[in-house]
Amino acid sequence: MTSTAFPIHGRLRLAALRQSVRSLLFNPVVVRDLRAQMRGTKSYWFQGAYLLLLGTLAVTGYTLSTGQSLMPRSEDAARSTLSIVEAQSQLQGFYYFTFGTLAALICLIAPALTAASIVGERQRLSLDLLVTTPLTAGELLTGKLVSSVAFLGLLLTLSLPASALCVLLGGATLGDVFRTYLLLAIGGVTLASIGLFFSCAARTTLLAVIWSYVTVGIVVFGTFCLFGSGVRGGNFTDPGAVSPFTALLALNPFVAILPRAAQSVPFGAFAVPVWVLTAGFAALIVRLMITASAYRLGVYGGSAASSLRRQTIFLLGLLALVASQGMLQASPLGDDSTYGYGYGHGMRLGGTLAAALLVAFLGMTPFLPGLFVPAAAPEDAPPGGVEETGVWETNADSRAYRLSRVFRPVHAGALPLFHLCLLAVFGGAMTGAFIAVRGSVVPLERYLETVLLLAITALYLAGLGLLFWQLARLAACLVRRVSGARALAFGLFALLAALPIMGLALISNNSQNSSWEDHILGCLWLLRPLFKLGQPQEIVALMAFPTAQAYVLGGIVGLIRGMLIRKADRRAAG
Amino acid sequence: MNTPLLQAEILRKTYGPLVAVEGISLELHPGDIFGFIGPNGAGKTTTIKMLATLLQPTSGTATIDGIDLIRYPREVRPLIGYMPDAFGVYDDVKVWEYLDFFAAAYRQSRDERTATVDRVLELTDLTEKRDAFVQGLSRGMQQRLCLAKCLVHDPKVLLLDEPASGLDPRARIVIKELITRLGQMGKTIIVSSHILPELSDFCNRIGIMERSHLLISGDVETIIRQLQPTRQLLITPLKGVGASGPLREDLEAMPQVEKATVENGDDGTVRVAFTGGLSEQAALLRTLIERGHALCSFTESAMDLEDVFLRVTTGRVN
Repeated sequence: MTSTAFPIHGRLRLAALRQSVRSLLFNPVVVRDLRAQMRGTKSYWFQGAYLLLLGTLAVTGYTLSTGQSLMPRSEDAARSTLSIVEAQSQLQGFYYFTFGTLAALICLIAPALTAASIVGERQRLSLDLLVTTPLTAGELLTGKLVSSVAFLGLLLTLSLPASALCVLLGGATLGDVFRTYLLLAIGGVTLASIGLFFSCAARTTLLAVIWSYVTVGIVVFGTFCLFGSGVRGGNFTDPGAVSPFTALLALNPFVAILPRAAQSVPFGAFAVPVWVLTAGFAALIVRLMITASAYRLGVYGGSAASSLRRQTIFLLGLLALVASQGMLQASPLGDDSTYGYGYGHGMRLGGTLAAALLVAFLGMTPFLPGLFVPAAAPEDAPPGGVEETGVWETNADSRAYRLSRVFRPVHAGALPLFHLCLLAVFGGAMTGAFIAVRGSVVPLERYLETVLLLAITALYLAGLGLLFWQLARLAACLVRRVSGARALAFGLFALLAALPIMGLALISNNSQNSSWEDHILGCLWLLRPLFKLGQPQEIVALMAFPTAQAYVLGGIVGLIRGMLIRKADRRAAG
Repeated sequence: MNTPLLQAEILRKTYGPLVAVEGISLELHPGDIFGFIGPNGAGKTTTIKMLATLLQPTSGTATIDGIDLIRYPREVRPLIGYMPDAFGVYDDVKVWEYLDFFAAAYRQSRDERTATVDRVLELTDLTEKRDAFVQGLSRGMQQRLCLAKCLVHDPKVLLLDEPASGLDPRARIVIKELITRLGQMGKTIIVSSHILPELSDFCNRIGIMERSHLLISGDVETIIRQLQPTRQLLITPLKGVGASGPLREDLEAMPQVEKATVENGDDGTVRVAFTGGLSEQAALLRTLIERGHALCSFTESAMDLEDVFLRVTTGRVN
């Protein structure tokens, strides 16, 4: 029996692989979309206009960066003798101009190509026809992405004459150009996948385009800032240190064109080129975005929800690992005088990681009511119940926290998911820090300091999560409509975070010489640590009280909810 | 006997407090053409969408060819052909490319697809439009193209939501003929419409839906017999209203006549509720003539779908 187990397993794997290849290469959606895109004269006109634009930009860029006009006057020509160093730097300027333009074009075009795809089908009333075919949501979305990316590839290929100038004139080598093109293409696919997600989530094409651009703008600007910041493995000035974090940042087309993206990441005795890691990260992120899109598309009968949750946890952990490794390399261990906090670098690292964790929580706050509010009213539950469909859950379900439901889109799995995400980030960050300090002369207590700081932060965030969750359940008791309950939960959280301390804070602050900043932060006692970033020595003191407060408040809200439900039950019985 | 191809039990769909479809049960066999009648907003489209695996029912069960469509929607999809009431077509795509795309979506090989496209184009009489652009077709042709799209994978069940809406009379007739032919080919078809005469010609089973409830469903004849246990005879005397009084009195005295009433109008027609069969009907006519009644018309008033609909929905519409 055991001898047959392997071939069957192998065959299943092979079938899954064949399915993925099929969805990439023989996807009917790609054939149909490309046929429609490339038909007629309009695509030629578009390509002509694009070439003309690129040509104009290249000529302008050359003039701007070298200071030489296309038709030099004789006296200018006489003066234009340059040293080799000057000429080299000017030609590099031209290289940056050309590829910067390409990066900007990709940021502008890639999200727009996919943003209209699914919402367009929805508005054209042709989506239902596709959904009733055996095409899976994954195949449909992959098809849409591939056809958009094929068009992006065409635009990149058309730009080759402009970038070839850099090679001809000596601003860059052929290898530079190929590598940059590869990274630009990878970045383009990633940005296009963001557009695809909003295409599934938005109700109109205009909204999808706006949301895609806003998100792409935040991602591109944010990663560029991170790259430029002191995070080692990222910054411009230090050519020595490249970490996997650099590869992650190189998904940003503007980072991809910089020389740091051309280097290799050391892995012990091996050196892996940045673009290889970037491609790996891109594959993970694009897969996550396609799964998220499939989930938003809402075609039932797939496993998008559980897959999305698994991928999110895995990616969060990986991101924390990669980022913490990059950050730890940034702090020059053993040199206390640089920072002068009087705390160890373990503390500083812990502070930075804690700050990153807090920022991540702030980013996900708007989505928490949606995650925590029970999704359906009790009378909607089918006779088969929760186990059967995996979507329905009664509000009064006493087993509201169940680890076994963590990968299902049910209320009982919401808080476990939040906890598992926190755990993944904590574990990832600590593993990354451990990898980075291993082999260097960091005392153990500094590493433990970091663990302690991060653990306190995680505990604080878990407390906020608990409070949010209890509020969402309370809101679902009071308001039947899910959207109303979400809004109420969010409002209650904001109120609890701000109100109880506001009066006290104002009174106590008035008596002292305090700044306006202290007034505002005083009003947001529960959320105070979120706004006091970058001062690691205060973190423990800052977090202790709000953490306790969050757990106590969470317990009180839970008690109120229990009382309300018992009252409603008594009324129903009477 | 033979097992039903499509079976639905207490299928229900709610959106929060709003009930879109309330507990629908259906049982259809191969070759059945089921007419789904009801005003706009009755829940016909929601029901069809649930059967087409587009909407997940809130509760209830449904199987197609024995497969639970709520639990295994992906396995059910190859068995159904779905035509929505409103659908869009892609720009810059030719008719054969459109069908080829859907055939490819049903995982057919290149050779199979060529044969499939030819087959469905011939069936829907669109062969000459093979290379035309889809957006340039008339509305009737687009409806036929959508029907052709439903047939590329030779499904067992066809779900057609208002297939004839917005068509001119000629295009309607073409679609009706096509549906009849598909029924003869053994396909189980659900056709919805809010226009009764459209369905009366070719449906062997009907269901009347109103305000999210399926009020009645079954064979057309069975339903009519249920609603009208007696046969309705219309007898018109030659001399008009003047002669209808004695005629009515004579009729009421006869056996198997439950009731005789004079209809409104100048011709003095008498409506008779008659419990007998055809031979008793012939005997009745003979007796009337023997008694000296001069009749210019003696007909049976057959209840049509419109009467059924009005009878079933009376009092519920308002």
